[in-house]
Amino acid sequence: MIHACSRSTQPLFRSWTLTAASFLIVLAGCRSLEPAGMYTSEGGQGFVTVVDTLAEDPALLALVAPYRAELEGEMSRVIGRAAQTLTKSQPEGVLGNMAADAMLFALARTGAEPADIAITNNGGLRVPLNAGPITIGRVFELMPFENMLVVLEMPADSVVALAHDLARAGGEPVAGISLAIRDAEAADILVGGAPIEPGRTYRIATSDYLANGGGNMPTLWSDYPRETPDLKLRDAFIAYIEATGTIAPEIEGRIRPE
Amino acid sequence: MPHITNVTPWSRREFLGRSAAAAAGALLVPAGVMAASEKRLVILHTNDTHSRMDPFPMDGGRNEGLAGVARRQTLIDRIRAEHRNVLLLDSGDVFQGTPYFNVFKGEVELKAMHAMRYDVATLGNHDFDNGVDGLVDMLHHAPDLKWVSANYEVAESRLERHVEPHVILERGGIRIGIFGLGIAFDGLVLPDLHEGVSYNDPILAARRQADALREAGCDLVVCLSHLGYRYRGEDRPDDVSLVAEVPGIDVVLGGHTHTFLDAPVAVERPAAAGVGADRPPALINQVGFAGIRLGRLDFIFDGRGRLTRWYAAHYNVDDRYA
Ligand SMILES: [Zn+2]
Repeated sequence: MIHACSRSTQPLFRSWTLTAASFLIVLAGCRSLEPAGMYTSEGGQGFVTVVDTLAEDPALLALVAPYRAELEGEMSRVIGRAAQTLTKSQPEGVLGNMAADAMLFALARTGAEPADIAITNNGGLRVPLNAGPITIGRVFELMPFENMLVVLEMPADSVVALAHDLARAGGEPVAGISLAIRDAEAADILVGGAPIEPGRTYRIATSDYLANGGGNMPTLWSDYPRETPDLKLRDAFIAYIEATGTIAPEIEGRIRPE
Repeated sequence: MPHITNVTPWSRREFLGRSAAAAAGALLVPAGVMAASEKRLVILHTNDTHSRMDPFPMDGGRNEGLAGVARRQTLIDRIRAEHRNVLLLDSGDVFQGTPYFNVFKGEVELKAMHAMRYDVATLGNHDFDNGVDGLVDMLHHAPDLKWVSANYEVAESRLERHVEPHVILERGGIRIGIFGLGIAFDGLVLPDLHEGVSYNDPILAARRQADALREAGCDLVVCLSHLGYRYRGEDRPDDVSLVAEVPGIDVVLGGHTHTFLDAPVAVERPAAAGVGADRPPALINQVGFAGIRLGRLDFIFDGRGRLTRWYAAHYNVDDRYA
């Protein structure tokens, strides 16, 4: 029986206090009533302890120092500002909008034919961008992975399937496409502001991670004609932030509940 | 979540209220009352440290000022100075998360683990981020660290020489069996990156390991798991289902879900299972990510080497109280 996790229980303590009490009886010479198995502390509950102060170990500092010095020069460079703190959220988030916009922007800047849609995943955006200056280091933390941007040439019906993937996923960062989520299906799908045209192909910018079987949008995993401009997602973000200066993405109803 | 409803989370105010008790900077872990014949094993653990060498920057973020390997080292040293039988373990995802990894490919993380004298670790999905070669090529930076995984089949890869299903360590006459479990690669690790390494069912592997380690006379069976704490309503193995199905495990030190458990979760063992029925409930613990916390579990064994009880504490790796 899992005391700790079932919905209705009195978890952990009640059951374990009883168990502990019986153990304590068994323990010869142990007269303490301090219940074992608790976060033993004054009052018998709560986090016990913290140290008063944790100085940094000099040897470890020395170990890390030369690496830090090498990183710092580059990583502390400010490339732009966030007008407000950008976080991810579902079905749509400002951080995700920035990321997807950056993919379209940076792809176009390579001279490649622009994409109709950009899609990435919230799971790949690892930290918020706090309001204020944005450093290269922060973008590394936002996008630590070496994911490359890829462009998939997708038939119209696959784009519809992809929209349903997005709806079932509860929304992931997108640009160029908008849809409503109706009963975990996509509705009112627009690409570039227009309904999907049967028979047409669309260019989808995404990450190699999502296109190669990662994430939860299976439509991206099929074999499509693929372009691989030599562009890391992280570099796309950096290029976009540098070119934009102050980024202030908004919730625009790209993916919205109905 | 229900399991912490009656545990008052530690807070700064409480700490300040208690700081008199913390006089002289004692680490204050429940000493309990120990009989002369008893032995204490102290297990320290981290998970998902994610290349966090330096404390989080003071940028207004929620974790600002927290973590950092140099502070963790200080804490570990102080605990080692107080106790003889100490193990230091990690549950995976050592790699990825700061530019240290992007630029130095894991060298700094592993050198720091070597300096801190980590004993055993298991593999997280992100430890494959530079592929099997990218991982193996870094392992010499922590030559004494042992890697365990019982459900990753590594025989066909270069990891073969570096990863064992389990290890058995001894501390002060206590035998500790430690095995590892890794998460399914699907959707997490691209095929190219785990080439030659395949995933097997973790529950089956865990049963085999728990039995083997009991048979080998281990006094404590520890699982380093990167499966994740709990997936509600999803049919996939997690730490909660693991301890429910494998009663021979005494403690699961988890990872992957970056779960901050304020208290370890105790799970009663099925009485019918024979093994474990006379032991304290099995424990699951996980300490978030990035080395923001160091987990500590003290296991007390009686004169016959029987596990009788445990104490637990988490340390915030922090200097705000300096
Ligand atoms: Zn992780």
